[in-house]
Parts: sequence; structure tokens; C-alpha cells
Amino acid sequence: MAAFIAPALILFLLFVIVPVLFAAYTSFFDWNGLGGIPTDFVGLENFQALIADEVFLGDLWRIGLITMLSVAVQLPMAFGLAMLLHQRFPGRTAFRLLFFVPYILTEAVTAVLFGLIFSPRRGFADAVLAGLGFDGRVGWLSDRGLVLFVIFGILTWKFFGFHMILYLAGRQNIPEELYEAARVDGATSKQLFRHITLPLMGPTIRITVFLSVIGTVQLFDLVYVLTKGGPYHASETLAITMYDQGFVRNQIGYASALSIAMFLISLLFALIYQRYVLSRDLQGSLTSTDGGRS
Amino acid sequence: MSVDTGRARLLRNTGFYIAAFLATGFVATPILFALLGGFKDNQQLRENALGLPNPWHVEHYVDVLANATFWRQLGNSVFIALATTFIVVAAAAAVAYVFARFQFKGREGLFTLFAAGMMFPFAVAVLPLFIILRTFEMLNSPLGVILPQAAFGLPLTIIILRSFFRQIPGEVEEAATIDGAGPWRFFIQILLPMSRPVIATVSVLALVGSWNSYLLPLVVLSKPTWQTLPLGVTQFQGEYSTETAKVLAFVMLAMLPALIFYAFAERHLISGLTSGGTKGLAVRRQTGPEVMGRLRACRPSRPGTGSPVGLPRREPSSGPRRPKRHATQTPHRTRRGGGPRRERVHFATC
Amino acid sequence: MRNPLQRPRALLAAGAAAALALTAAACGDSGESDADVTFWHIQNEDPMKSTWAAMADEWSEEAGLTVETSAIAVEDFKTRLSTQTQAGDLPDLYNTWGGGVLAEQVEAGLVRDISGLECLDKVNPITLEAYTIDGKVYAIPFDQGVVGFWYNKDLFAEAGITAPPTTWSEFTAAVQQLKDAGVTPIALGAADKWPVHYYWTYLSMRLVGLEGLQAAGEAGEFSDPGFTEAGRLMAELAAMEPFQEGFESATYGDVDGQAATMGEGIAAMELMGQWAPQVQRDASGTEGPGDALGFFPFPAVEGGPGVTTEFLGGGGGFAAGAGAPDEIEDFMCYLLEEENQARAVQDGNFSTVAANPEEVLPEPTPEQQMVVEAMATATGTQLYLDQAYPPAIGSTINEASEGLVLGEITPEEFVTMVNEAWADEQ
Repeated sequence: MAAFIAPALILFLLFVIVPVLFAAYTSFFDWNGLGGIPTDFVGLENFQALIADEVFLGDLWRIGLITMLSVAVQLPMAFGLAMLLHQRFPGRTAFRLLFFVPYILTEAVTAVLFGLIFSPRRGFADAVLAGLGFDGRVGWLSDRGLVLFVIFGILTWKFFGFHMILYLAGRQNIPEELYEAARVDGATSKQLFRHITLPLMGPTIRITVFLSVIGTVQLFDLVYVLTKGGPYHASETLAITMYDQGFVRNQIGYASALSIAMFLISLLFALIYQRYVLSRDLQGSLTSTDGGRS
Repeated sequence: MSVDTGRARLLRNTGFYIAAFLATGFVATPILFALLGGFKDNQQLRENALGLPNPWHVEHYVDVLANATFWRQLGNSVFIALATTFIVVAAAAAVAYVFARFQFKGREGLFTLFAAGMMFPFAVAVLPLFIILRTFEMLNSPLGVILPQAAFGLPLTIIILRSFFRQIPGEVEEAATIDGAGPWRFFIQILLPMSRPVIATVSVLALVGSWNSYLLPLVVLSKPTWQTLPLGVTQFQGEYSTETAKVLAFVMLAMLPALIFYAFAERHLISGLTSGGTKGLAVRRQTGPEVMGRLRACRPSRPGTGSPVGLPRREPSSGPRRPKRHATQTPHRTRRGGGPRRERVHFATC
Repeated sequence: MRNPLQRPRALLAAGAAAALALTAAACGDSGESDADVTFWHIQNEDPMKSTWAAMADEWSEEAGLTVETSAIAVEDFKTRLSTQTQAGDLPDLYNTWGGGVLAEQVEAGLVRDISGLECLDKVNPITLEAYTIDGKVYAIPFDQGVVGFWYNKDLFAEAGITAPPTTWSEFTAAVQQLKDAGVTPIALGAADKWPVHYYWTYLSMRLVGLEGLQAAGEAGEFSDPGFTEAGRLMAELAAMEPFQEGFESATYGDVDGQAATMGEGIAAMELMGQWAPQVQRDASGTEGPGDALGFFPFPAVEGGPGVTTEFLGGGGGFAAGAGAPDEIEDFMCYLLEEENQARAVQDGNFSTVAANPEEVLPEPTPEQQMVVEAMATATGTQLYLDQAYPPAIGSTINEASEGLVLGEITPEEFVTMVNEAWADEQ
């Protein structure tokens, strides 16, 4: 049995647990990353500074906003399209293929592509607007009130296909007999949706929300390559702040505290979500509408 | 509202197409911009952003394709992605098998540890990872990217695989044991082949994850020898910042391999996600209560614990969220590939 | 659907085989490098990219050592170097801007002391200042120049401006004139932050004086009211909206960035270092303003002690990692041979660091001439603040400069932010 566990465990301990413990340890030090190991113990000072850090608080607000938008816009859109693509109609496979393309596109590539699309002078987006008869340029990435929504749009573009596939799988797991039986009993399509589709899709919906939140907390590549978090923190994420502190300013202790905070936020969310929303259907819901039923 | 009248269907179909085409426009426009932009020159990009290229410039694509760096980075990306996938799936399958089918002290604690890995932001680990990799002399080596990626891919893979393995009835294992198969043989000759669809699913997820990885290769691979496509894109953009069309051609060509791969894998991904889940359902649905009872009895006992976050699970209760599935369910429906014998059904759909 | 997964399985099997084969190969190939000397520079565009590579190859052949040259884009370079620094192992020869960043590396014992290098007499001693820490030299320079306003004479003429401004009020008047003439007065890449901090630094130099700024840097506190005043003037300038549309998300060197905006003749001026004309051409893909390009020093501010001959400046150099083989000194001297300095100056369009510029640069281009002349008049220089100070301070100044120009923070908050960063550092 040990032989089954050992490879994964060694891999996991060495490349996940040890680095994370190291980060946890350094979060209690004031350390610029130089000179071997941290020595200047400061206790919880880094964490205290964090709570007062406006950029950090702004990050929390921004990831909260993106999460809410994802749940309110991106996931329903993915859900609707999954329901649509569950129907049989000519060209269905082509659509399914197309909608998943952005997901397999590298984030860095996506960022480069959209950087060109939203470029201020040669931007394709402005050209499209002009072609539609709207005049004037939009500060897609330069308008501090707009940039986060533009990034949300790009995230939707990139990730809705992934959620759609999960929904599609969840929907295909619902036996058609249920619908047939209900129809025989005279149920309307609205009732079918409310009493069969929605409840049976519940576990899948809940897991996608979970994945969406965890993904947002860790958002980095796309935003970093596209805006570096700017202008002036307007699109900054937790991971970018951490990167900036750790790799640009050499404030490794503070950056570690931030990364531990990110972990705690994810964990806290997971705990609450687990307790009140997921309860027992989390495990297996990726592959099964049946969830963790024994 | 009747769904089956001709007009309703026509309306519905029209609605489908409108919605599908709106979504298509949303998804396809940026891709088309890149595809066509690669055939324009800079002047066309500025003055004719919307139209078709006129004349068509193929030289940007040709230049990229003739660029040895592009091919090397492509090869590196493919190799690193395949190796990562293989390692993460193999290691996760083995440990998920133990988690799903063996009972031992500390099992849930260990599972929780793995599952909590999903919550660790990768960026947190980059610096300590760098130091570890240097200690093992794995900088500038593909292993320095592959192993950490595989390690960070473990949590999700283990969670998915475990929940799938748990749904395979104990009878199968019992039969194998009677035939004299030990755990290894059961694992390799029976469990893994039965799990192909779900293995396809986790493989696709791992491949995509590796393919997209940016930060880790950035800090680990400072030599061009092993650099991957995501690094190549930003470098290429830096080097040819003025030649937008060339950058677009590079972007397009860099996405092509993943696209081709997905076109092949799509079928398996969906079938893996669906049939993966259906498997457990199929068995349960198609077996009467008495069989289910027997299955439960003969299966290694499965304490009701475990979740991706590894928190103590609430005891199962028939809460209102549970859909009333059994009430409406026809007990003996035949599934695709289903044979006359119930147990067979299971194997046939694997 | 009996065997739906034949292909993926075959793929996986192939992957496994390849993984095993390469694991073996990779283990042999791993580690820092198999080359004797690793050389990291940031000139990732030709012709200079090839020129460094050629010099490395030539020396490699002569010395019988292998050199591995990496041309890395500047932002990637900073990331990589930062990880390398923290891991305690720098490349054998790498790009540096000197100042506080280099000092941190020196303090950690990661940089080779090259004070004894004989060939250092081939460069102008002034150019070594940024790389001298506690009296010891840690890098050789290859480029040295000053920051000032590069302006488009044609656009100035169009707006009826006859002579470049020499005082701040003339400058703001010129900005207004340009705006009235429908010309974008200033190109700025605010997303990169560092181009913005030149403005604040220069205003501080003019209002507090070079000595005052240096004293504040040593004390680690910006207490002089002149620093707040500098922020106020900068905010006033920003309030005139002199920058190109979308400057908030523009970078310095990318498409539609600061340099490209100048290169395409859209904006009338930019505050930038000696490399500006070259990047204007590279980033815009044009010939740039050509003969219309002029240079004037940052204007004096009325009432401030600073004068226009005090320059903000700096350049590029190469430092050697502590773990480099001794032959690295040969390589450094090879790069400093007059002939090679000349090649670099020509291909990289650098500003020469030579002790005898005539030997290296007999016929400077008009742009190079402008920088040389400005440097000849210099009565004092200050290294870019984001390099002169420790990274945490420099980054804070960059960040605050961006915030000030975007109106996100006040001049008072600017000073508070920087002072807090200083306080944290001590």
C-alpha cells in the first residue's frame, strides 16, 4: 500500500508542503530574501500591516467583485449555453468545440492577444466600435472604472467554456426518463427545469462556483501580462500584489504573509461553503450528479 | 405549452441559433482578429481593422513556421505537458485507489492534506520552490517544471479519481481477489482500464494546466533550451513589438496545437465527465435495493468523510436538496451498450 | 465506444517513455548551466543582441571557455534576477543599473569585487560611480547618459514655440501652447511607472537641490517641504492633461506606448534617457522624428536651488556574480577594448562610457552628440531613484508617481508613502 501512496506523497511534500511551510515560516519575519534564512523575527507585524494595507483591502474588494460577477453573469451564461448545446441540433459539435477554445488558450497568450485588441491607438475593439458607427475611443484598459470589467469580460471569454463543459456533463447525467415521466404527468417545461434540471444540476453548479472562486483568488498570469494590475492598482489581484512585494520589492516576509492570507481566505471560503452550501455533495460532483451519496 | 408543434419547434430552434450565434460572435471575434490579423501588414491593421486582408500576407505565418525557436518551444511545451500529465495521473491514480478502497488510520487526514493543496496559491510557493529546485540541480531542466506542476496538479486529480474509484462496486474487486489478483494487478489490469473515461478527463485538465503554465517556467527556465510557448509569446512580443501582424501569427500558431489536441480529445473529455459519473449511477440505478444492500455489505466500509477541502462531512441526511430521483425513476432502463445481465452493464459502458 | 481511448492511452504511453528517457538525460543536463560562463543581458533586439552574442563567442574561443549568452526582455530579466538573487546565486555576468539594487546584492555577498581590474582605466571614472559601493567597484559600464526632454522640433514649431523652455513656467506655457495647437504635448507610459518617476525626481532636484536630495536619501526621510512642492507641480502638470490618450495603460516600449507615440510623431516630447531615439524607432517601426528630434534639459523651477546642468542619469553595466570563474575579469576587459566599445556604441546606439570618447566614437550621430554635449555641461548627476535606492523604496516612489499623475494620491500622501517605506527599511 505504501508503494501506492509514496510517489504522490513525496511529490506533494517536496513541492507543495515544504514550500508552503517555508512561506508560512518566513511570514513571521522581516526579510528581504537575501542571505540564506530569515533572522529578523517580527511576530504578527506583517499580518497587522496587511490588514491596514489599502492595496490588499482593494484586492479583496476586486476579487469579491469579480467573483460576484462570475456567479451572476459568467456561470449563468455557461449554464444557458450548456442547456442549449444539450439539445440536438445541426452544428452542435462545432459549437461545443468552439466554446472550449478560449479555455485551452494560454493565459499569457490571451493577455497578449487582448492587449492588442484593446490597444489605445491601434486597438481592434475601437475599430469595431467605429465600424458600428460609435465614435470616439474607449479607455478599455486605461479607464480605472472600466478596466476591471474589461478583465472580467476577458475572463468570461476564457473560462465560460470550461464551466459549460461541466454543466453539459452534469446535464447529460440526468436520465431522460425523468423528463418523460414528468411530461406524462403534465409538467410544463418551466416545471421540468425547476423541479428536475435545477435540483439535479445542483452539485455541478455548486462545484463550479467553488472552482470559480478559488480560481479568482489565485488569478495572476492573465492580469499580470495584460495590465500588471494597473492603472494604479485598478486591476490588481492578490497574487499580483504578492508578486510585486516579493519579486519587485524584495519584501519576502510581507509577501509570504500575503500568500498565507490568500490561503486562509481560500480555506475560510471553503469551510463556509462546505458547511452551508456544499455539505456532502462536493466530492464526486465533478464527475457525478450523484455526489457523495453512499 | 406544447413542445412538439412545428411552430414551437421552429421558434425554439431559431432561438437556439440566435443564442448560439451571439455566443459564437463573442468567442470567435478575438480569434478571427488574430487569425486574419496575421495575414495583414501593419498598415492594414491600422486602416482596415475589420475587413479581410487585402492583399493577403502569408509571410508572417511563414516566418514563424520557419523559426526554429518556435518549433523548439512547441516541442518543449508538448513534452513538458505530456510528462506532467503522465506523472500526475499515475501518482494520483495510485493514491486515489488507496483512498477509495482501503481503510487505514490517518487516511482521511492524509486525504485532507492533499485536498487542501487546492487552496495553496501557486505563486506562494515559487520562491521556496526555486531554492529547492536549485538544491536538486533541477533549474533549467524540464524536470524543474514538470515535478512541481505535477505536485500542484495532484489535489484536483486525486479528488476526481477517488470519487470515481469509490463508485466501482466491491464485487468487482472481490471477484478479482478470488481470481488471485493482488492489489497491484487489480489496480493495473482492472481498475485503470475501467476508469479510462475519467482518466481521459483528468488528463485533459492536467495537460491544459501544464500547457498554460507561465510563472514557473519563467523563473525556472532561464536558458532558452527548454523554454515553453507561453514564455515564447511574451518574448516574441518584446522582440517584434512593432510587428503586430507577426505577433498575431505567433499567437495563432501557438494556440493551434492545443486546438488540434482538443478537437481529438473533446469526445473523450465529455464522455469522461459524463460516463465517469454515470458509472456509479448506472450500477445503482439498475440494481434493485437488495443488490445495493449486498454491494454495500461486501465493499470495504467507507466512512462518510472526505471532500476536496477534507473537512468533516456532515452525516448524510435526506434533506430537501436531495432530488426525488427514485420516485420517478424507471428501474430497468437500458443504457447505451447495456447488456442483459446487470453486472455486465457496468463493464460494457466502461 | 469499446475502445474510445486507444489514442490518448498511446499518447500517454509515449509521454511516459519520453519522460523516463528525458529524466535521465535531463538529470545529466541540469543544474545552473553546463557552460563555464553565463551571460545575461537585456538587449533582446538586433543588432545589439547579435553583437553581444558575437563578442561572447569571440572571447569564448580565445579563452577556451564556453559562454552561454541569454538575451532577456527587461521585465522578465527583473523577475529572473530577483529570484536568482534571493536564491543566492547570480549569473556570472549580468546586466545591472547599479545603485541600491546592486548594493543589496553586494551586501548579500553575491557580487564580485572588480576594483582591481586594470582595464577600468578605459572608461570615464564618472561612469563608475553608480557601481561603486563603499569605495569598491562592482561593475563595468557600457552605456552612460542623462535623462532629459527629447522633443519634436517640427511639432514645437507648429505650436509656435521658438526655443525650448528653460524654466518650469515656460515649460507649462509650452504645454498649453501645444495643446492649443492640437498637438499631444507629452508622451508617457504610466503603466510602467518608472517613466513617471523621472518627473518627480527632477522636480525634487530643482526644488530641493541635488545636495538636498542626496542628503534626504542618506537620512532616509523626505522631510523638506520641497518634496511636497515637487508633487504639487507634478499634479498641476497632470491636471493640464498633457499626455496622450490612454497613457494610463500605456507602457514605455510596447506598441502604442510612450516611445512609439514619439516615434510616430504624435506627441511633441518625452522625458527619457539616452536610449530614447533608438527605442522611438524600434517601437514605432518608423524612422522616428529624425532630424527634427531635439534635446533640452529639464527646466529649472523658479525659486528652487537646482540648476539645469544637474542631471538625472545612469546607464547600463555588467556585474559579475560571486561564483564566476576568475576568467570573468578577462571577459569584462575584452568587452571594454576600444574596438568592442565602438561596436557596442554603434550597434546598441549607446552613449559612450570611454575615457577617450574620440577613440571609440569618432563620428557620433546627432543624437549621441546631444547626450555627449549635455553630459559635458553636467555639474552633478543623480542616479535614477528606483535604482539608487533599495528596491522597496524605489518601487514605492514609482508607484506613488503613477498615483500622483493619475490623481489617486495627493502630494502629501506621496511623501508619507515614501517615508513610511524608508521607515520600514530601517
